[in-house]
Amino acid sequence: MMMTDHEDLITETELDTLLAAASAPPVPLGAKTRMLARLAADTAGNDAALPPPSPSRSRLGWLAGLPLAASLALGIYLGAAGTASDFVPFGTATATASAAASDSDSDTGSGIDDALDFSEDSLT
Amino acid sequence: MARPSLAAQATDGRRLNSRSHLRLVSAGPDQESDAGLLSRATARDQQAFAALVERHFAIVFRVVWRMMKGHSDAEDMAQEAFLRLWRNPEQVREAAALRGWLIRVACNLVTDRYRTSEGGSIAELEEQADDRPAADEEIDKGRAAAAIDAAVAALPDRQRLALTLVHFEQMSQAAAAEVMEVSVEALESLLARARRALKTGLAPRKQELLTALAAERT
Repeated sequence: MMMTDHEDLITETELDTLLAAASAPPVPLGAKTRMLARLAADTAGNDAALPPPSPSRSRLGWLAGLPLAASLALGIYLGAAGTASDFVPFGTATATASAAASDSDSDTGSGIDDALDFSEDSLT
Repeated sequence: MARPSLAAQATDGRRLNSRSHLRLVSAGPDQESDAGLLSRATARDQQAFAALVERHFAIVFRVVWRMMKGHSDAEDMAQEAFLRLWRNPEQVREAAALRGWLIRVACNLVTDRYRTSEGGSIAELEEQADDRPAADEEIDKGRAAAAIDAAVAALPDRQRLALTLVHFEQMSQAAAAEVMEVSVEALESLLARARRALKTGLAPRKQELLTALAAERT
């Protein structure tokens, strides 16, 4: 920008004088108090968002896990000893065995043929 | 010379810690260093954080106020910078540079706000009129101050920030350069351009302004 009037040039000292007269913004009244109130609200909000620490719940978690862990350990022990079938109920074992035997037949599990055989045997 | 046992060292350490703790407590948070207060604030000590607010809020607010050209949201932006500190105090790598960190975060918040949320820039902000009532004898000075404020507000953002930190907040050039994340040479360049622009902008009203200020002084 061309300066037409040399007297209008501002020296460094004059500029400092002018800048010293610039507004000094005062901190609004209560700003720090509002800041701390916002901080407290923010802290409370974060605490509410987080699940509250519950030592009793963690103890309950252990208790609930105990029976499951015991059954797993028992199952592994019995399976390794080969005595697991001794503990399977009788009816369940028979049904399992007959189902395995009838798997080779085309007629699976209707029981009608068995009944007819039984009646023919009884007649002769 | 025999070295003290570990137990003795531990006892001495405890004594030293308790002594230094007592010294800090007796000195109060006003005299405690930023590092000490920040360390306690990291442990969620609200009293220590309040002392940091008391110590640094004003300068952060003033810088933000100039960056936002006196916008009423300046307080909100300054608060947000402190909240960032409260939420993640570990981000401050050097406690001695806490003030600079706060100012930098606040300025970044201002820039982000006007870049993203409102789709504009700080440059598009209108300078806020100073609605403070002025006494009759202060009208001339008030007008002069308003003219100077307007010239400062018209500066590009980086030049205005450099001028604010060095001239208005009396920060050293090294500290201001660190806040702005530029070299000292780059800061000097920003300052030189800012002053040149101010001289150009204020030149037409030079006599009027200097006369008003001289009358105020007498």
